[in-house]
Amino acid sequence: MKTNQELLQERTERFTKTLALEKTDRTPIILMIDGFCAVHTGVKLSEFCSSVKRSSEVMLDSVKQLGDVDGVTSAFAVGPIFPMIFMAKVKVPGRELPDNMLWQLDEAEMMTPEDYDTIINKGWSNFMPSYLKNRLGFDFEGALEQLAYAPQAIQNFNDAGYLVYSPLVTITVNEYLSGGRSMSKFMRDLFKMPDKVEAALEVIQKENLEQLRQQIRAIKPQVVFVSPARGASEFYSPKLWERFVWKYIKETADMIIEEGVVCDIHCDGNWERDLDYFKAFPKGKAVFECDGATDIYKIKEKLGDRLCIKGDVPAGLMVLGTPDEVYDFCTKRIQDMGYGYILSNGCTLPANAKLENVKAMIAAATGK
Amino acid sequence: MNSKLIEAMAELDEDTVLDEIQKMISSNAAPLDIVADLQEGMSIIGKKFEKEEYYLSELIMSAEIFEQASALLGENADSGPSKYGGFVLGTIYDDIHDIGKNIVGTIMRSNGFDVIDLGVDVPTEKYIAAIKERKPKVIGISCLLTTCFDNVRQCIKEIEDAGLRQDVKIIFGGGPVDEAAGRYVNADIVCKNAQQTVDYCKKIMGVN
Ligand code: B12
Repeated sequence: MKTNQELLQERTERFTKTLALEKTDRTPIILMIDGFCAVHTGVKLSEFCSSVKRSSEVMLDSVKQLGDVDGVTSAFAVGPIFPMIFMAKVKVPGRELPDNMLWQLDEAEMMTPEDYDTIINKGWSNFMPSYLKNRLGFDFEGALEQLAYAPQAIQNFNDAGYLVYSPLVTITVNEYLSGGRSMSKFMRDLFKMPDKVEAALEVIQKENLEQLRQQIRAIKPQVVFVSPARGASEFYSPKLWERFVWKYIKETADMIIEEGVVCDIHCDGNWERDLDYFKAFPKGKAVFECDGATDIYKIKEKLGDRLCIKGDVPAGLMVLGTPDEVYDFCTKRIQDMGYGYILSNGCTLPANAKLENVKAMIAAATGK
Repeated sequence: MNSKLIEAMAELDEDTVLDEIQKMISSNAAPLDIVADLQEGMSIIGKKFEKEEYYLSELIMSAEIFEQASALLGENADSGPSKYGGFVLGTIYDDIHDIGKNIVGTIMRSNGFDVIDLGVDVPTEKYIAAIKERKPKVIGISCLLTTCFDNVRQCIKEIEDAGLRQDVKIIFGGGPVDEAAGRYVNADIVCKNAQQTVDYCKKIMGVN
C-alpha cells in the first residue's frame, strides 16, 4: 500500500501535468465540496459552520471515507465567511437558521451609491472592515482569527494524501460592489453612474492586486482561484462585460500568471459568447472552471489547446440523477475532454447530493 | 399614447421615463394609459433582447425602471382589469434568488398579465392565500437551488391538500430546473425562460 506521502506525490504529479495539458495515467478528480460532507458524516450543519477548523475536520473525514479522490478545491467551508467575499450578510445554521439548513447569502441593498464616493476618497481598506462590522454586523476580527487556521487545514489534507486545489481565493472586484449593492441595483448603477462605479473599482482593484501579490509570494500556491461569481457573459451586454468584468478578470489573471502561478477562473453561468477572450492567456497558465451552463464542448473547441478545463458535472444531476447516469456523464466527459481536464463539480456539490452519485463520479475517474 | 415615454422606456432612460410619467400624472392622464405606454416600451425591449441587441443587463435595468414607474403610479397601476388575468409568482421558501423571477414577472406584466409577485422565500401559506384571494389561472414557482426542490414538491402537495390544485396550473422555473425536476415536484410544466412562460400562459388563458 502506498503511504499518504506517496499518494500526495502521485496526485500532485497527475494534477500538475493536467494543468499543463500533458498526458497522464488518468483524469484527476477534485471535489468542490462543503455542506455535503456534514450531511455525509452525520454532523449538523450548525456545528459544521461553527468554525473554519470544524468544517475542515468534517470535510477531511468525509473525503477519507470517499476514498480515491485527488483532492478538494478548498480545505474548509467558505460559506460562513461569505460576507468578506460578497459584502452581503449570510444567514448561518444554528444562528439565523435551523441547525440543519444550508447557510444562505442574504443579498440586499446594504451599500449605497454614496459609499462609492467614500471608497474613491478614502480607499477600500479604510471602508471595507468598518462596513462589514457596522453595516453587516459581521465579526471581521473573529473571522480573520479563524482563517489563521487555513494553512493547518491545508496541511491536514496534504498529510492525508490529498491536494488542495486552490489555497488562495480571490474575487473579481466588481463582485464586492455587486454583492453590497445587490445585483440588480449594481446593474442599474452601471447604466446610471458608470464612471463613478469604475472609479471605485479602480481603487479597489489596485489595493486588491497588491495584497494578492503579497499573499501569493507568502503562500506560493500552485493555483489561485479567481471568482467572477456573477460575471457570466449571459448577464451583461458585451460593452458592459468588457468594461466591468473582463478588464478585472484579465488584470487579475495576468498578475497571477506573472507571479508564476496558474489562474483558475471560476466561470459559473453561461460564458459562451465571450470564450474567445480567454485565448489571451498563455498555454497551461489558466483553468476554465465551468458549472454546466456553458457548453463544455464549445470551451474545448475554442480553448482546449490552451486552457485546462475543470468542472461541468451539474448540481441537479448529483441530486436527482441515478448513479448510472452520473457514471455515464462523467465517463463521457473524461473521454471527450482528453488530457487537460479535471473532473469536478459544477461549482459546489450540493449538500443534498446522493452519496452513491458521488461514488459513481469517483469511480468514473479512477476506473474502480 | 406618449411616444416620448415609450421611447425612453425602450432606451432605458430612467430619468425621462419618470419625468414623463410625472407630467402625465399632473395632466391627469389615465394611469392605465401610462401603463400601456410602459408596456409598449417593454415589448420593444423584449424584441431587442430576442435580436441580441439587448442582454440580461438591459432586462434587469428595464425591470428596475418598470418598478420605479409602478411605484410612481402607486395603487392606480393595477386598478384596471388586466388583459389576461392573474399570474401569481414567487421564489420558493429558503431560496432568495430573484433575478430570473423578476425578469419573468416584468416580461409577463409587459405582455398584459396581472402579475402578483409574492417575492422571495415564499412560504406555502402565502401561495395558498394568494390562490384563494386572487384566483389566478397560473402560478409560477421559481427555484434556483436543488436543495429547495423538496420545498417546491411539498408546497405543491399542500396546495393539492388544500383542494386548490385543480384550479391552477403550476409552472416551475429557475436555473437548475429541468423536465426531471418538473416531474419530481409535480408541476404542470417547466418553462426555461420568460418567453416560454408568456406563450404557455397565453395558451392556458385562451389568448392567441
Ligand atoms: C446570481 C446568483 C446568486 C445571487 C442571487 C441574487 C438574486 N437577487 O437573485 C446570490 C449571490 C445572492 C446567490 C446566493 C446563493 N446561491 Co446562487 N447563483 C446565482 C447565479 C450565479 C445566477 C442566477 C441568476 O440570477 N441567473 C440569471 C437569471 C435570469 O436566470 P434564472 O434565474 O435561471 O432565470 C431564468 C429561467 O430560469 C427562468 N425562470 C426563473 N425563474 C422562473 C420562474 C418561473 C415560474 C418560470 C416559468 C421561469 C423562471 O426564466 C428566467 C429568465 O430567462 C447562479 C448560477 C446559475 N448558473 O444559475 C447561482 C446558483 C443558483 N446559486 C447557487 C448557490 C449554491 C447559492 C447559495 C446557496 C450559496 C450559499 N451557500 O450561500 C446562495 C443561496 C441563498 C438562498 N437562500 O437562496 C447554486 C445552486 C446550486 C444548487 N445546488 O442548486 C448556483 C447554481 C451556482 C452553482 N453553480 O453552484 N446566488
